Amino acid sequence: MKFNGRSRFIGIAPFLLALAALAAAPCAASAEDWPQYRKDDSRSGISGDPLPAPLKEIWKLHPPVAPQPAWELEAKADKYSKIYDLTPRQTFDYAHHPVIAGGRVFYGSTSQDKVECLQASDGKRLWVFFTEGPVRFAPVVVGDRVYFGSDDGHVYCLEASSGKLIWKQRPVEQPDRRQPGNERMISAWPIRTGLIVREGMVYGSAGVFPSQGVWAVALKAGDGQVAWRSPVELTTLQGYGLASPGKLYLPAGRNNPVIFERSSGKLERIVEGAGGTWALLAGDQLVFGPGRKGELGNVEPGRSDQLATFSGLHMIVHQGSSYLHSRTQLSALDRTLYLKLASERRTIQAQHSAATERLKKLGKTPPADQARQLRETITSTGAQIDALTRRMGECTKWQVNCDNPYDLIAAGDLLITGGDNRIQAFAMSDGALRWTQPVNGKAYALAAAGGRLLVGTDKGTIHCFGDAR
Amino acid sequence: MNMTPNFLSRAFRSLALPALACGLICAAAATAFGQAKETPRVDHWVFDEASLKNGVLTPAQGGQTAAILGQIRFSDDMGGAMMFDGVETTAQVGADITKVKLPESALTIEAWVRIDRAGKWGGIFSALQDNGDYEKGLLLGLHDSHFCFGLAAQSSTQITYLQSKSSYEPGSWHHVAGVYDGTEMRIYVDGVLNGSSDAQKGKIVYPPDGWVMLGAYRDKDEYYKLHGELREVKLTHRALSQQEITEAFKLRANMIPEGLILDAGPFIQLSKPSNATVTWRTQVPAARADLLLRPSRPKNLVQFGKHEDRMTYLYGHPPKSHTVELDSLDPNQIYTMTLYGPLQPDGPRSKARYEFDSSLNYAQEPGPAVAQPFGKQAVPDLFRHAEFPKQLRTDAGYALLLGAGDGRGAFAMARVSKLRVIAVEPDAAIADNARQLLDSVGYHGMRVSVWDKPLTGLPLGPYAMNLIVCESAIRDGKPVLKLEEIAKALRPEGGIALLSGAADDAGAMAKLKEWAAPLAAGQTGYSLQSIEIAGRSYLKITRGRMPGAGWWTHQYGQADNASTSGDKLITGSELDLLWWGRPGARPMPDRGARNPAPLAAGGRLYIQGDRILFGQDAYNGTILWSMIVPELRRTNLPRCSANMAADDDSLFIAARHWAARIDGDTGKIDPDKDIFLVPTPAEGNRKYEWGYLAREGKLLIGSSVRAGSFYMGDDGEWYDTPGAEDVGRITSDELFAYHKDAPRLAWRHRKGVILNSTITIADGVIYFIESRSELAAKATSGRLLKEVSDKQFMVALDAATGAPKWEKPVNLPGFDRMTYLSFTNMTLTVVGSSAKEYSIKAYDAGAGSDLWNTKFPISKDHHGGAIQHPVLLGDAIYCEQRAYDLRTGKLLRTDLPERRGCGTMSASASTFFYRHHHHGLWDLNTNKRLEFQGIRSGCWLGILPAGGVVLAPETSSGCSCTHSIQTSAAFVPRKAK
Repeated sequence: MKFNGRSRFIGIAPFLLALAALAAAPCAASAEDWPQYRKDDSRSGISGDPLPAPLKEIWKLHPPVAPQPAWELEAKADKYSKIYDLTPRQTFDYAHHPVIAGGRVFYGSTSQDKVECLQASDGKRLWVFFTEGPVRFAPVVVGDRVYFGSDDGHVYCLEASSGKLIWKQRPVEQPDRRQPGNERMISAWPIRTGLIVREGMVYGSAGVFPSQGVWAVALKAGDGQVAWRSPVELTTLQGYGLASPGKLYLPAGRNNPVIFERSSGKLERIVEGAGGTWALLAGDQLVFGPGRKGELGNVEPGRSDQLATFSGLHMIVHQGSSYLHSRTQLSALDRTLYLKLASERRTIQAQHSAATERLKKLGKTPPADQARQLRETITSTGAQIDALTRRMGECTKWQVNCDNPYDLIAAGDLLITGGDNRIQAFAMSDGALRWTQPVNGKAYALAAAGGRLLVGTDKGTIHCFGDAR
Repeated sequence: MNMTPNFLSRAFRSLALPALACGLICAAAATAFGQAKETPRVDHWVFDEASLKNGVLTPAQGGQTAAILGQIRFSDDMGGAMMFDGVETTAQVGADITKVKLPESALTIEAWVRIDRAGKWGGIFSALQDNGDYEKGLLLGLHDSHFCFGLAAQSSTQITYLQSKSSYEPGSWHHVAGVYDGTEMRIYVDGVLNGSSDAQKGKIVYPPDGWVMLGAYRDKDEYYKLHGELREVKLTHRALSQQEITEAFKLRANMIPEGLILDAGPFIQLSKPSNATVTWRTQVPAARADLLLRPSRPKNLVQFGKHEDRMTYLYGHPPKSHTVELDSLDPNQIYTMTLYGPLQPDGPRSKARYEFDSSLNYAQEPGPAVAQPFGKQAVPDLFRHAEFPKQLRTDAGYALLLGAGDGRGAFAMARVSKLRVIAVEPDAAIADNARQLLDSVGYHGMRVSVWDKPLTGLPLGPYAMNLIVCESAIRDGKPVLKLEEIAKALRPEGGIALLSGAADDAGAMAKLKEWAAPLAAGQTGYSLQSIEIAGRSYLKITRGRMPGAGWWTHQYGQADNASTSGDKLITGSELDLLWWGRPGARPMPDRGARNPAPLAAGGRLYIQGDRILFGQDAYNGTILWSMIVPELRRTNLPRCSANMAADDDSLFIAARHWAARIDGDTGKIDPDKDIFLVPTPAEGNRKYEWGYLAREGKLLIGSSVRAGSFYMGDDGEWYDTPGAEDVGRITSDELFAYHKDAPRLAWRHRKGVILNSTITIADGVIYFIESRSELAAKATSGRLLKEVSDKQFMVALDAATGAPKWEKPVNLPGFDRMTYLSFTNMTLTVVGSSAKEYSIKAYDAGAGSDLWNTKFPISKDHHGGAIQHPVLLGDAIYCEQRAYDLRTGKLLRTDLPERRGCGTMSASASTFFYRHHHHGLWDLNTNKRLEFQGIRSGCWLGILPAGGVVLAPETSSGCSCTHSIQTSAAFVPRKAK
């Protein structure tokens, strides 16, 4: 059979189009999957699948060695600033974060230097792939491919069904060098961001210390070739990355996240805030923290400053509401109204600050008229700020005590919280406690898909809960 | 808030009140007193377990409950008391002061309290607001080391803080009472009147809003939490008489436990991940040792372990030294440990209580205890033989196994040591098989990493390997390794390589020797040796000290205080990271708090955290040992001397009245041999603690400081501007020397009162400045300022004998903020500063003759800019941003690097290190400056150029700003071999 050029094109086109569509999807996972950290590359943490009730532990995996996080807790206190009990800002690897795709569970290990694939139904190991350093971030599963980075300095791409290596790539130009880092013999340029796979590209970073070299990188998902490499000065890049249609957001350890243009790698800006590696994209708004005191900041697109801060460690944004999770409480907030009021307050605050500054510049004996006018502005804007602040305080829909500070996700109509030796579920509608399940350790890593709930703890245990019937 | 000693100057302001007002007030007070006599209201809170339910304290009297905030813990002191941690725990009577029934005209506020840690301010009972210009309300609390009673009444717009004349004893129980009768304030401590003031008159004036707190000082601006214990607080709406106060004290005085004074310790060695070994020495032999251990969170008690919380050991022959092994500790817990003194026939036993945080235990997890997966005869002979571990200087660190095969050697190596093994196997399939086998028993990863790479060209940085093993180093009659790679990877100061050919290759050793011979040719620091283990010959390559390496054995480099290590290997400005990791910010004091610098000697780095010590491999960062020493704390080094010194084998530390020698490799202390006590006898109430500490030849040099003088800096104090001229110096009454290998005194010297920051040792001579003023001699405290500014002498003693060599009177005006003495090239320099300028005076060290002096303006009067310690290097002294010729005083340059932070500089033979925005470097030869972005040090000396590398332990801890990385790290010149 002979093909002319046209007929050949026609024959291949549907396949190419399908491939392109697959590559363009944020992740090629089914609705029942949780194929990467917090479900998607916005890190929404929301599974549409309801969890069955009652839940039962179907299986658990308890590795012989507990996870070995890169960074320990923060200092006990900033006594100079009178801040005690500082919130840890880098907890991304305090547990092994499981992901679920195609009936399989995948996780990376910080203590056993491997990625494992388990059968979701019974926890049976299907394959294991070893690296030469800790794997600190959850793999990303796209179709039959698994992507992850390692402290050995490589980004890996495996076949999801078999665990066979498709490619591995050191994304930096420097010759490989291994040295003791975080108590392990690792690359001088470890992969310290959770990867993003989008539109045929793999995004991440390499390096920890700016003086040694830190780069945001984009690799071609097909063969691992470096598409771009963007150097970062002044800060590290560590934490789970996020992506929007045009931007790449990379957390920066204790520092504030850095925003890049996704197509070129151009560094746009470092946002303002109190630092932290937990981040969420709520539409086009970046939410990140937890800063020094357990606060999440909300940054609007195109800006660096924070429109609002929320007292909390984690957040779920769903249908106009924010579900906030602090060390001791869980609450629901009318997010739409709150941000609208916050925006108004910022405008008024700017007027208030400008008037205050102008009055100050007039000196001790200002012209009476000018001073009076400015004082009136200060007084009236002050009153407006107070009124808006009061209204913002009224945006809370409900608030309940919740002593489970380690993680928060949503599954169906439930909010699942990770605590000390337990997980608890609360109703999204009113915050009512629905159930409690014991787990082994601090539940830092929650994932839900297809009626299953996976829980990773600081002791390394991965629990799988499912239908008790 | 400002306050002058005893009671406030502001208290006198009310004396100017018009007579009419005074008359009205006195009348009001009289009325109030009369009312109080009829039905005085009493609120009485007893902080025992029986009074607490669901986090709320039910009062014994008065009906006003108190909500307990934060962690709840009780001790058995005084019949039951609540422990306040200074961080979380407080008790809130009300968040709205207007809803709490408070006395109007007269009152007595009493408490049984134990203060464990002093703060600038603290509260036992507070209902106040103090903005400086708005002061109202009531306080019973503490200020520095004194109790205070604060009150604002109608006669004044400000609070009078009446301070007790005597200071409280940390860790001891006191009864404290504040009394106000409408005309006079009185403060009583332990039933005795301790101060009074008539500055306030009339009704008490409270702020319109605010909190009423127990165990805290809280207003809108400040929140100081008590670190100690409360047994009870009693608020009576009447002024009690002296007799009533005395009776109240006597009621419980017989329950006060006597504080147990130890000869030394305790030392809590964190030996295994969930274990701790506690060692202490009692002053007299004790027939039993009792230890009580309680976790801070009782809900976790179930995790506490298999042993009981109280341990008692009975001895046949009463010893002074005691050691208790604690096992099954919860890894993330604050424990309270109580040590008890001898049994008493009547009354309570003496005891001492300490806290320790088990989350700071960095001991390495052992590999899982599993059967090995390689079959019965699998383990290579080398690793099975008892001789193998003996070859290692320590059993922790990194090992490189070249030719890993199926991983059995790596497995065996990991089983018999704490080494992290890098097992290299060129064959990918064999390597993968090794990984599978090791993973099946939980050894892959943390303990063994398998690299499928060729045996040469490995991507290894320098100095990391404590051990390299290759049992197939000769193949087909030829060496398969590259000598320069092995040499570079070996850790200096004791790293070894064990190399052999095949077991049946008789000529292998000769070939290996020939191959390795260039390593040992000349002064290279390497040595070669043939050894035999399990009937097989190995070439042992040992890497010793790198020629040109210098170490940092004392606070400012050496005991000469020149702030240089003399290291000649750290040159140029091209540095790479060598290692990074623990310790991080968690165990460190807030921003370093101008506490003792880390030290480095013999290949080890010693770091003093907040009452915790770490011994670390300087070349690969491995934590060799860690030890909590609850009494080890010292800050404000610009006015003091350090409490650590090191030599090639040992670290010496000082706390309270003792010093201890710690084995550098293991962290072990032999309490019978390694403890040195301050020899100066107590004189009445004046007791002595160990001040200065240095290692000089075969001697350990120390000094005696009046007890209670040291700065602890627990509340974030910086002793910087403002008021830097008023910060007292820590002084010593006696210098002495012990033989360092045995606690036997060599000599003692006592004449004047010595400024600790000036004690300098060089070339066998001890130099210092002392004051021979009577005021200094008679003062109760060893924290002196004006008392020691008079009749000053510079003294030189023979360090070996303590015999005087020379002395001369010195006049040092303008040295208000600090006085540093340093030595280099037979030149002594004294550096100090006043509010406006630095002063430098130089003397010839041979006889003390004057050389030159100069002054220059300070350029930065904050962040330590006016208290910089100098660096003496070569023929120059570098101070702040200037350099002068050491012998002539000629100004050499004024372009030293600007420093943004509050630290002080350190130097190798040619490169300076300091804190700027980040870790900063200045190459003296090229004048090049650079910074290591994203990481920075703390507020005094935290970067050590030593041993051919730059050691930068984490010292920025507590700073909650967003610099990216808080970690300990080391750097190495790029050209390092």
